[in-house]
Amino acid sequence: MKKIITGIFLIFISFSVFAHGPSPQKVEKSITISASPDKVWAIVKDFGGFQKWEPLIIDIKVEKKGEDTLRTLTLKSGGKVIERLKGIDDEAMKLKYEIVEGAVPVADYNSFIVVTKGSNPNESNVTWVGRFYRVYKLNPPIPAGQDDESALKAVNEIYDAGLPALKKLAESK
Amino acid sequence: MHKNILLLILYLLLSACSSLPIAYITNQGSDTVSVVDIKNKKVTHEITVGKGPVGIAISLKQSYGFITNANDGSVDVLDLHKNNLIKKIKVGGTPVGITKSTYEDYIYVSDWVNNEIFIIETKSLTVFKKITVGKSPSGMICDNKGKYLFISNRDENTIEIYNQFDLSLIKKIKVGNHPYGIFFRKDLLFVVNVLDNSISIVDTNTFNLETIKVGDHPYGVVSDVKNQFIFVTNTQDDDISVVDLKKKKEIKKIKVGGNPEGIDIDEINNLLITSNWRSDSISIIDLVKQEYLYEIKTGKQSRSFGQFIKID
Repeated sequence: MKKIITGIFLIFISFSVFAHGPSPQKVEKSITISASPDKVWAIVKDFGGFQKWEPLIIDIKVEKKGEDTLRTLTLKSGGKVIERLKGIDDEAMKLKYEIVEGAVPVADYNSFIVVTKGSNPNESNVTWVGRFYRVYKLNPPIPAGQDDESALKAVNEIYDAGLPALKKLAESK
Repeated sequence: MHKNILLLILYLLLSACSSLPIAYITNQGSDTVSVVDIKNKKVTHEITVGKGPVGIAISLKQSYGFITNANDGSVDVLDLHKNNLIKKIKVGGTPVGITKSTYEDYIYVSDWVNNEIFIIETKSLTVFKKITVGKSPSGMICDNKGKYLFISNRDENTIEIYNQFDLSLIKKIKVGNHPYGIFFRKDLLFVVNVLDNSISIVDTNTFNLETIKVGDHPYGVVSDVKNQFIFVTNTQDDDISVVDLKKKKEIKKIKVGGNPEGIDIDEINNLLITSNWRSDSISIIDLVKQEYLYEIKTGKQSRSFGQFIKID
């Protein structure tokens, strides 16, 4: 039984490393927050503090691996996701990261979160963008849960839960 | 007064001779090709094509545009005088890369999934042959002497050089991780390595290989006519790298729109154009000053993988 599970896990890993169909998918969401950009950026740039404002994760562990900073998320729905920090740009107030592997049904997921000035000094706009592929890269039939719709749904859920919670956190502090 | 009239005539003559760059932009998100008048900064036509259009090749002889539709396994043929679709060629698989043979007798189409190249005859507009190549063939280009077809094979980290005449494999060369967009000029083949954030430069006489670092997730590459500079789209940095080929390093970054994928060069008007997937637009760059000029909105999720500029 254990062997079978390991086997399934390995198949999944090899898919997430090599898989992408040729058409990338996009999710782009924005929210306006009544707090200064500096304050919001301080929350967003804290790569290890993601669980403070993402309700869909219940645990986070940050580790350094050589030059890489990785975080392992435990999802509320079960399963883990390993993400790599790609860059923190204080001037542009932009954080870039990618999914290395894990339970979100996407492949080659790249994302950034950017904070921009709002209409007054106490207002900010936050935009979260993801570009990724579905898990299954071959021609139809596509196995359930590995299609474009599953990938889009999963990412939309993460962003839709996270952004209002980020707003709440930044406005309450 | 007399002088003014002469100047006016001279101006009119010059404008009549001037060349108008037109960009043909494949839009994955709206299943269209935007026809963009670069000088007048506007989309003049929006042509509906197949599902998930990615690649483009232009045959100047017939003024045809060939579009790969990755999501429905077809190649669309556009008449670029009338700006309409004249034929749909069902090839199956997942067509992505596309390029024309040196003398425009054939169009080569790479099928990402089945590891094949379809060869379409431009006279009859039918698939005339297919050959099996490396894993996940992506970018393709031909040399200017009618000898070689170059292919990047994304999932096996190689480029292959085929003989255009009999389609025999001449050489297979290891490059970086996930080679995608490729470009050829004056015995140099330029290949982007998406997951290494680098480009490989292959000397096609000696097969020597050099690697130069660029930005995050590069997709497309072109060089100028003298091979002084190369320009690379960095999809995850929203900019292009300018690489000096003498110094063999990146000397400048130019900000463009979101997720730039395709890039093409217009040496007559000294322009570079990128197609920007995330911002549904194209960016125009001054090739001489190496400066950003302006942006034009297109259809959704613009890709234009291949050579997409035509001078009218």
